[in-house]
Amino acid sequence: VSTNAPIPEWLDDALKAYAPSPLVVDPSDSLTTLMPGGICYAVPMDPGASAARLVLVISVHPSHHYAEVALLSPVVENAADLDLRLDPEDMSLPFALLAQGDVIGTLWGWQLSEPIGHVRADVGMALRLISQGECPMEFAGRRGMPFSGRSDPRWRGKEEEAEALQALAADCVRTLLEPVWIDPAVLDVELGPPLVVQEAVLSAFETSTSGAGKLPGAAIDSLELDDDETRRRAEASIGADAWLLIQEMALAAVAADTLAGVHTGHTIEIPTRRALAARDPLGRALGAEAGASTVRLETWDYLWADDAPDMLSIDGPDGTIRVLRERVAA
Amino acid sequence: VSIQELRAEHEANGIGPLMMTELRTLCSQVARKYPPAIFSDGPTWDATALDDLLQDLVVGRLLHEGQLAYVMLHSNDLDEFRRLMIFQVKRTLSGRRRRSVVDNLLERSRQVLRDGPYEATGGRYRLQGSTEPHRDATESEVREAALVARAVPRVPVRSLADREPVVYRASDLALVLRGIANALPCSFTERDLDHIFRLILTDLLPADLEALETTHEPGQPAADPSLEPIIAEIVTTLMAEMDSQQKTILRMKASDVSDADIAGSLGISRPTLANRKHVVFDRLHAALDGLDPTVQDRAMERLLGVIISGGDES
Repeated sequence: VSTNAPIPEWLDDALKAYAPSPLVVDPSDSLTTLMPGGICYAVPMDPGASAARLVLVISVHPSHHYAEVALLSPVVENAADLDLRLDPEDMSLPFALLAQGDVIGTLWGWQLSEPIGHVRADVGMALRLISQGECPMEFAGRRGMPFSGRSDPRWRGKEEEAEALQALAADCVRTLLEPVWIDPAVLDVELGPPLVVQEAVLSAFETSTSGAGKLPGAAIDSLELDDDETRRRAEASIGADAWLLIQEMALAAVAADTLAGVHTGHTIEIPTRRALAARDPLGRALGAEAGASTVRLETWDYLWADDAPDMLSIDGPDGTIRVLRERVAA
Repeated sequence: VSIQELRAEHEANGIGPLMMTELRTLCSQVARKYPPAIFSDGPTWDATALDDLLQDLVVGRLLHEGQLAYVMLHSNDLDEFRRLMIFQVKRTLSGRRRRSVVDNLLERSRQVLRDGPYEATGGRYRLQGSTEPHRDATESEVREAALVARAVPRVPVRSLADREPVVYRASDLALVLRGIANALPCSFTERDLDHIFRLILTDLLPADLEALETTHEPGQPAADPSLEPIIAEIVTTLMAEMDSQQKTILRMKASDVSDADIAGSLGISRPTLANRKHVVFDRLHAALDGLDPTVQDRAMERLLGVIISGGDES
């Protein structure tokens, strides 16, 4: 293939008429300034697990570390009636986009890049209203035609768009639906230089009090697993067993990368005291995994020693577990 | 070539020899999958036809619409760059076809506007005797007009092999134009029609060519002429029974407008709309139940045609 293809005259003229300008990203923007109206890249929790996409931030929930976003599409000619066309002048971007009012989801703040563009706050508000079946008059003309049923050729594309956002949002949505599973406190971690991340990860271990937290692969990669100070702090805060488990998981992730020949990064679950206790057979038998504080033991009389007390207390992962003996008549 | 080389060239010159070589190759690969008779001006994908496609892609899509920036923003490797550019080539081809279908509709519309009950002033049209002002329609007004026109039955585009999709039969195109003239609160231009036709065609000629290839809608069988009196009587009866708001509801539902939008347009609540919609559907059901499906379809087409062409909507 020749790499010396001549530049035709029309290209020179076109480049003069439509000089492509590089996208300008304000370096002062950061995750901490995530705001409604921001246009960001959304990346999966595990890099490479699904495709990165542009999204419009509709609302931000700093206390829970997530943002509500609408998926953006460049295929403006396929607009449907719940899509809102964003023109270049609306966003300070050189291309138009469709904000999809029916493809909305929640993502962790971690998953969102620095904004590459912004729209006015009322655009995000309009999209929110459109998704609820209402549309401000001034935005009505930016919508497309309704679907004409499932035979509409755009339908399949819309389903694929929904699946794309679901793949990106799965982790966050699952967590929000099952709040016990992940401790939002660990999400206070802000990604930055390795040493900062190291500190943040350890802080996350220390602040995690319930469930199992998750950290993205980028944070795990920065951990100095064989560092004495890290080990000392980790063992002091979460215990030697928990630290050992984290090391095992992080090393397994590195090994997986090595085998695959590429570096993808991995999410990792932070074992908390409760999770560790649940690994213990006695703890599991006593319902520690479910966070039980009282366990009733229903037994046949003849299986229970005559001198066994009717109640006893055992130290569990979240405090004392009361074990109540209940006799079942033979 | 590597993505780093392409990126360096892009940052220095926008588009240079390396990218042009890539684009030329991708145009050739993609275009040959599609019939030149539909997607090109010539009978074959020869060098001239491919150069034309390349120019459309680069000037129209990548530079004028800024899609080059989108692709470069998204491309982390050469495979991704090529995947995104292939999609841009397909969008360019699809846009060409949509353009030719719209041009065909505009050409036919000119004839209808010349021969029909329209007055033309300085490139603006309105119905004879209309007092609608001569001004540009807003985007919102254009969309509303497109929704009215969308209720008119279209001839399905079944596949890529459908070379000359007519979209509207002659009588239906006249109905579309009348509906647009009635719907717009101002006179209209060919540019407005262009915009409306492009909106109407979004579900007939999507940007995704693969979607079109797998779209199959059955054509309507011809109605028995002897049933014509029955159809006419049904339409006359329903027009007399329905009030103007019910006609509006029926016309908007035929355009697939959501209940929320219809309620907003009529200034009523959604539950109220739901009740009134059921009344309309019950009335249709009572009039059409038991009839042959072809007769039902024809009667509905005719009824919508009467409403769109000037039925007394609210």
